[in-house]
Amino acid sequence: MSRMLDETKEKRIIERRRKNRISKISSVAMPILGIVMLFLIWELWVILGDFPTWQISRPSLIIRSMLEDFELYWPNIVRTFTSILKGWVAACLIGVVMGALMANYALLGTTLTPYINLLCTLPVITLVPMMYVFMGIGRDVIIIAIILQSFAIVTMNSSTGFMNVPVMRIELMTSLRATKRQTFFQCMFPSAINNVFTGMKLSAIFATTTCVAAEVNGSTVGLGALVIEAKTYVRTDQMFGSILFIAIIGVFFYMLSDALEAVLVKWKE
Amino acid sequence: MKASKIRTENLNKVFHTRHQDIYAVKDANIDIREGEFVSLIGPSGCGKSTIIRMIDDIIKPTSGSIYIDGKEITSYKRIPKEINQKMGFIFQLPNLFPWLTVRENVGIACRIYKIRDEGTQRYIDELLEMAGLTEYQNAYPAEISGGVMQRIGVIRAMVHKPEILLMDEPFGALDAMTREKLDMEILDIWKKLGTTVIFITHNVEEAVLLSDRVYVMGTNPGRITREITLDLERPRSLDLLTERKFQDYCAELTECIGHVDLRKVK
Repeated sequence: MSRMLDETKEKRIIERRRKNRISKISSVAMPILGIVMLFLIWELWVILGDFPTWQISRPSLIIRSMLEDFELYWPNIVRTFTSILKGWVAACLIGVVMGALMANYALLGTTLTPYINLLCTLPVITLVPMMYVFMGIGRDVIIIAIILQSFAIVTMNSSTGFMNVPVMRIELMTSLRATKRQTFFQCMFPSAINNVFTGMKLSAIFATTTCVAAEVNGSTVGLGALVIEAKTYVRTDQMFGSILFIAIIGVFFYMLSDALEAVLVKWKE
Repeated sequence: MKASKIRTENLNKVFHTRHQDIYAVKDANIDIREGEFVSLIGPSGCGKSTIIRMIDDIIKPTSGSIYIDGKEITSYKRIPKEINQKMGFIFQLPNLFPWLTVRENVGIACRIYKIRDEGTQRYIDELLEMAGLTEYQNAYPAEISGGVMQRIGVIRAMVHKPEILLMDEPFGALDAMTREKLDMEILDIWKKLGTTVIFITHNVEEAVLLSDRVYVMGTNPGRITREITLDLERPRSLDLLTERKFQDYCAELTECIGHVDLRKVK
C-alpha cells in the first residue's frame, strides 16, 4: 500500500522535474529574446524618429562602442566590480554574524532592530557627500557606503531566518543535549540558510546601486564616473555603454548568489 | 515487582501570563517501572506533552522532582550526559532535518553525542533494516512519504540505545491504517529491546492496545485524574480490537476523559 503510494509520488517528482527542465531552457531563452526585441524596437524608434545621436544613442552604436572602446571601459569595469565585490562580501559576513547574534541574544536584537530597519530604508548615498568631506574623495568612502547600505538587509533577513527555526528542531537538539554551538551550526544555520541567501541577493542589488551612485557623486574612476564623463563630452553611446556594463555587473552578482545557493542548498524544506 | 525507572513527585509547570498563572501541569505524580509501557492520555492542553518534555529536560519544571533510576535530576542545571543518553524522544511530527539524508537523520544523535565507532554504524544498518528503510537511506526527507518519515523519527530516537523512550503522540498525524501498523511495530521493538516507554496519545484505542498502564489527564489545571492498569494479555495484536475486554477498557477510559471534560465545562 505505502509502496504504491511511494511509486506514484516518485512519478510525480519525475514529472515535475521534466516540467522544470523545459522551464529551465525557456528561462534562459525568453529573456534573451526579450532583450533582442527591446533593442530592435529601440533601434527602429531612434532611426525612424530621426533623433540626433547626441540626444539618444542606438543599441547598434552602443554595442559598437562597448567593443571598440573596450580599453576605455576595462579599468573602470575592474574598479566598479572590485569595489562592489569587496563591499558586498564584507556586508554579507557582517550581516550574517549580526543576524545570528541578534537572534540569539534577545536584548541585542531589540536594541539594534530599529537601527537595522533605519539603515535598510535610508539611502546611504545621501550621506556620501558628507563622508567625502570627512574622509576625502577616495575609494574607502565608496566601500564603506556599500557596506552600510547592504549589510542591514542581510542582517534583517538572516535574523528572521534564525528566529523562525521550527521550535521542534530546537527541541530535538535540546533533547540530545547539544551544545549551543552544535545547535547553531547543525540546526539553526541550515534552517535559516534560505533567508540568508534572500538577504544576500537583495544586498547584491543594494551594493551595485550604492557603488555606482557614490561613483557618480564624486569619483574619477569607476563606471559611475564614466557615465558622468561621457555625458560631459556628449558621448551618449559611451554613456549608455557604461550603463549596460553596470547592469551586467549587477546581474552577475545577483546570479552569483543564486548559483551559490544552488550549490550549497540542495534540499527542499 | 521491578524497580522504579521514572518517578515524578508533585511536578508542577506554571506559565506566567500577564493576567494569571496557568498551571500546565499541577502536582503530577507518576511512577513507571523498568520495562513498562505506560500511556498518558487526555484532551489537548492537559499538559501531557509538557510532562515528558520535563522528564527529557527540554523544559524545566517550576517545582517538584523527577527521579530517573532513583536519581534526582531536577536539581541539575543541565542533566548529566549519561542520564540524558538513557532517553530517546520521539516527536509528534517526523521533525527530520531536510538537509540530511535519511541515514544522516537517523544518526544525528551519534553526531551530537560524538559516538563514532563502527558498531554504531552497524546498529544504524540494523535499525534501518528493522524499519524497512534500507532502500531509502540515501534519500532526502522531501522525497519520501509521511509514514516512512515518521518511522525515521522513531528509529532516530533509538540509535544511542536509550533505556527510556518518550513518545509524544508519534502517530497522531497519520491516517488510522498507517497508525495501527506502526503501533504494532512499536510493540515489536519494545518487546525486542525491553525499553521503558512513556507514550502520549489522545486516542483511547491506541492507549489500550499498547499499554500496561494508562494515566488519564484533565485540563485546567493540567493534572492526572485517574490511573488504570490494563489486564490484557501480551503479545497483543490487532485482533484485540474486537475483544470484549478491550472494548470495556476503551469505554471506561472514554468515560474518564469525558467526565473530566464535563467538569471543565461547568
